[in-house]
Amino acid sequence: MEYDLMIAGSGGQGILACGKIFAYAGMNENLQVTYYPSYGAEVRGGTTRCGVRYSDVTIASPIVDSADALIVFNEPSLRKYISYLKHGGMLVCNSSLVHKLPHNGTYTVHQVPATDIAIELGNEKVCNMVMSGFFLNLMPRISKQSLLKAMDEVFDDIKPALKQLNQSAMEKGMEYAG
Amino acid sequence: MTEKILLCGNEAIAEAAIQSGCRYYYGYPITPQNEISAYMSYRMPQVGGTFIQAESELAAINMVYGTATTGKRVLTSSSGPGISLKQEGISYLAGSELPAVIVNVMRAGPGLGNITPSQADYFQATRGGGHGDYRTIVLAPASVQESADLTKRAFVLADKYRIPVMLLLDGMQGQMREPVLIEPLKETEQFDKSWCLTGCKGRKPNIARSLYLEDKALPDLNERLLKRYAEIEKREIDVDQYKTGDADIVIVAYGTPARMCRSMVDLFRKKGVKVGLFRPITLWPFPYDLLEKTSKHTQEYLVVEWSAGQLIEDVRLALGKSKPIHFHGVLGGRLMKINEVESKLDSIIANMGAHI
Repeated sequence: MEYDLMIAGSGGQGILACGKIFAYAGMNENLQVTYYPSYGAEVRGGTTRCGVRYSDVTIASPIVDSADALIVFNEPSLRKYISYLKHGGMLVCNSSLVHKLPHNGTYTVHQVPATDIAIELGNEKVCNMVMSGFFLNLMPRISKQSLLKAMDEVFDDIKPALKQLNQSAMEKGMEYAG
Repeated sequence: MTEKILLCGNEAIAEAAIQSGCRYYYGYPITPQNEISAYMSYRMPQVGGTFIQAESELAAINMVYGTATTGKRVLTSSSGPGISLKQEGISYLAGSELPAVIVNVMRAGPGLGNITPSQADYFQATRGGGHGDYRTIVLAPASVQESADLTKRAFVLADKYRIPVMLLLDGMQGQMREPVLIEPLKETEQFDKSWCLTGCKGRKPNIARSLYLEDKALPDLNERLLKRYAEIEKREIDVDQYKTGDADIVIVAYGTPARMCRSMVDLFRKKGVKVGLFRPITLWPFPYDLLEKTSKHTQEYLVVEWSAGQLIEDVRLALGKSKPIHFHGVLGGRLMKINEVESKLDSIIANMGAHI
């Protein structure tokens, strides 16, 4: 089994945290996993991304250049990174901020108004948790339990109320996926 | 730490240093190695150690010198531009026979270059870097786990030979996250610490210095160092050979390019082509003899590195002109894709035996 994931959005939307959670979740499933961020020169408001690779065998390179799934949090990152999605891959969009989809895609599209759902929950910042929950239902090898554990591992020092909010957001995302 | 956690290479080095008994870290910020400083800034106080963000790279390396004179395990880290600044201090450490571990997470140069991964500091690392006839042991990991393991080995080697040891990583290894298990270093050797500056009440004072003005004193030091380097060359060479035993084509690479090339070995073996990977783990001492041995059956060599061609010079020293040595280099500022190596191998295979 090999599965490549790219997550992209605006700096500050929790893109790297989301990637770390999915990397941790893969580790919790006993998969080989690498996580590689774009680092250093990224700025709040600019586009940022990270790549997570899963495999049953040793991973040669952490670079994702032909993703099975591309999760985009806003429109600029969709435009910038759509070329990294492989033929027949899966595009997951935050439809609150992505209004215009490319015309001639050869991929399946899944949309969730993650920012709107996060605002309804009272904190726009949990948009990345909504996206995580939504994507979880589409991802073949990650269980909910592994994802929850991963959230604890990445956010190991947060207040109980925030932890509860993160979980609710993730569950809202899962519910939306149905 | 008794269970696997997800760390980037930089954090793994920092934690492995802690688990090796290192309680002193001095650094100055530079991408792509900042996670080492960030990690040490909260981890050192937890274990009763000292973290200092120095005012400059020069200050940091001289703090390392000071701590090393006491015989305590000490770490500093930087990337190319900062490592260049530290060279004076590294030469002084070598001249004063002091143990220390220095991490270089390579970025693209020359000059300030940019922050993308690179391997263009190979010459600087393996040829000493600073002034004078000296060597540093250079260790090159290829995964986050190995970064942690080699950090532990670096501290042991530094103590054993009273020598600065450098860990040489490309920026991608520093930034990439992988599951890693870091257990405390099991000390199996006792090291002579009678030379340390620990307060001389009741004994003759010890001196740590690299200035030798007396007659014959400097040649004596240099001879002592040379003997030690010869000893290291005899005992400490390490290399990971993957399916080189019967290989017609051997790829030579270290760090991230090596793990990429490892997958090429499997790919081409499936196609029926006998490809192997020769991955030096010690860049100095370089495994010249072991590489030369492969030439008994290997027809062609391919060197893959993220530079304009530095590792390839050691490969040439090992093989001479006996076999064709091909090169695939990626220049600073660009990332290498795996299929570039595949195309290169395809062209080598297509032309095999066609050399005039």
